[in-house]
Amino acid sequence: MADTQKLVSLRTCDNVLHKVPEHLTLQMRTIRNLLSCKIFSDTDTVIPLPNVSSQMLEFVIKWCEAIGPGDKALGSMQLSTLLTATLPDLEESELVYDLMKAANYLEIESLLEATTQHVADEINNCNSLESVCELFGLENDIGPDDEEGEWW
Amino acid sequence: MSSRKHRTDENIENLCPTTRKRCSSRNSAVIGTVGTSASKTSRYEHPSSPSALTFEALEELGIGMLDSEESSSSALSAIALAVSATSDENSNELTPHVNATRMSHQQQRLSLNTTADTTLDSSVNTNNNTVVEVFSEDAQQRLLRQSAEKLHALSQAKRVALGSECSSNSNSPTKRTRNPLATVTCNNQSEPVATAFAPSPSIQHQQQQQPPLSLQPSTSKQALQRQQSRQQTQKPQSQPQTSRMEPSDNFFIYRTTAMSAHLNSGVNYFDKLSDEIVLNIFKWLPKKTLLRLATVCRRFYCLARDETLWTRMDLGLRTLCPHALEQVVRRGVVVLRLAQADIQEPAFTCPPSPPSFNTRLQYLDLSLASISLNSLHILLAHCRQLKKLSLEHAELNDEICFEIAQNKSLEALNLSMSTGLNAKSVGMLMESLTNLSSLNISWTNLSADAITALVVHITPNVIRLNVAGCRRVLFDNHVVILQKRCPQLLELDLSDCNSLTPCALKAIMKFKMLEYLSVSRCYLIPVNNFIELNAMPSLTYLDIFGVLTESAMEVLEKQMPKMGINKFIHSSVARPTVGTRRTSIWGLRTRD
Repeated sequence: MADTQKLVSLRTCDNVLHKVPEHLTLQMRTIRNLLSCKIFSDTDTVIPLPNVSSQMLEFVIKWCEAIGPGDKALGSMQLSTLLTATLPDLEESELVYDLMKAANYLEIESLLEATTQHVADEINNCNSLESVCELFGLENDIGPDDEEGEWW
Repeated sequence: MSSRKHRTDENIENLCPTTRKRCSSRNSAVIGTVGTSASKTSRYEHPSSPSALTFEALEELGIGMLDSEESSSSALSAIALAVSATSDENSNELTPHVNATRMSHQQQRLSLNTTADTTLDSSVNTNNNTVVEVFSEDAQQRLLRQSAEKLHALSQAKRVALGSECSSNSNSPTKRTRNPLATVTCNNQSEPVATAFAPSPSIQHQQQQQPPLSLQPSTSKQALQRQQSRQQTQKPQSQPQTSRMEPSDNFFIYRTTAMSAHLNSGVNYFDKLSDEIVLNIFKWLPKKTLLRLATVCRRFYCLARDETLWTRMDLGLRTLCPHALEQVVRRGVVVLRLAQADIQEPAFTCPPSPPSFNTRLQYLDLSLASISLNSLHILLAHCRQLKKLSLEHAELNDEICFEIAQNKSLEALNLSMSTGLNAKSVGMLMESLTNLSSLNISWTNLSADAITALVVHITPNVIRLNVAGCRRVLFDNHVVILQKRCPQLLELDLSDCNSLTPCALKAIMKFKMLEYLSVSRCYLIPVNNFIELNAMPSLTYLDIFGVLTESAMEVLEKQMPKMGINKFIHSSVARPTVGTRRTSIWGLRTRD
């Protein structure tokens, strides 16, 4: 159990088996909790991840490698720069959402913070509510009576 | 032990080294006697933690704290959040909203784990399908998977439709909005400079690209108008945008899958996300943005009102519109700073009694706020959980004092320079507030009767008391009564109580734990009497401004080598902000 080369088997939703070094999976609280249950005998058991696709898992692994071992808390700016550095393909914002969901499911706090911040920055950059609507494909379904003015 | 330590944090701004050391030397006997008030929450951010200093540094630079939260650029919010993130580690404070969302998180995981436990135990060797089924029983996961599939299908459709027309990169919302945003946000910059931003690959380095603050986009009406006027000169790839910005009855035409396929934003990304995740996104946003987002769609309306997002607010120096204050407290704000705010009438729509709802306010700073008697009354009538309250310079009346008195867990009360106190209200306050530990009632023009009521009824739990400015009304016998009533006093400010004589000093000598004493400008006490104070082992700081000449001061300092004389000009008793600190009240952050 103390073998650092220990691999954890993860099966993603597309039924692909991934073998991930244990020290990386320890960043994912969901898996950490499962592993600590001591149900698992060494390497037989496969942990299913029905909500995570292979692509997302690859991203996640890259992120975990970038964060590195240990529990050092990173500031939010460091997190967002790290996000850009490790996952430059995130230009497509769809991936951010999937990644966010994966981070939520796997409970990787650092990744969740980084991705939510990224989206929040996008919202902040929107000039008006219309652009927020169109950016995220939201429908305005509030009647005029629900509108509230500014407070200050 | 820890409660003592954190009480002393209030004074750390005064650079009181003994208070910092106190925690180590404090014996348990003392704590035993001050029992009930020791239930102080240990939720203080250490005032001189590095994170706090960073905030100060930002303030010095003129960034952020003076401006409205709307102007907090992503740079600023990133910096601020970097600071607050680290301060979370330093402070004992829990960040409520983060914990709240995580709790439901954890519950989900817990249920996951328990099902895992029970099923994996028995089926450790069986195929994984069984386990998968167990997991899929969780409704949310099913939903997530479904929506993920939906998205997958949609994105497939999109890719087919787009063909090789545009690379996925240039169609991404972030890239696409980069161009129009850059032109609109830069008030002074010309287009060529702005478009230089667009091709840059590092989108996330917004803080480096965009000049801070003044050019930061705000969702103000002006910006809206600018956007609308710009629609005529839309760039070709944003043509679909334009049509989407037309009035809402046309909006729905574009909701067909085929049409959505043309637009990257045809997919509603937020539908894929659980409320929990959306709250995690919202927590990064400034409050003003949250208010505006509430008007976007029904889901946002509900989410933006979530109480985890509204735990703290800093509305210092702002002018609050009518009814705004009611909205603020209805959001469940716990830490609220309204220092120097101008609260316009009418602040509330509801009558003071019976209170239709109870606010969750615990830390309220109304120092120097401009608020009518009626509004203040209504506000306080809805507060029953206050722990610390500052009404410095406020106008009070008996009804308001009554409402204050109903907050039984009040620990710190600052009524410095307030008006409208009389013997009856003071007596009632003192009788009622049995958990009070810090009281600042200086310069309130109290009558002698009021002082009597004060010292007779004050709770023994008070350890810091400031009754400065009671000219000709505070006498020696009051000090005698006070000493008998509160023998454990640590800090006593009697400056400008110029009726005190050496008899008062005799009574003061009986305070066994007094560490700080101020008798500035008590002219009736001869200087040599102060040397007697050397006999008090606990006394560390003595303020006697306005009494000694320089040479006399030197003599005194020689006679009292261990005493810190005239170190503190301003009292910090029960004060929410001390010195230049403006980002926290009583050691608590006012901004998330």
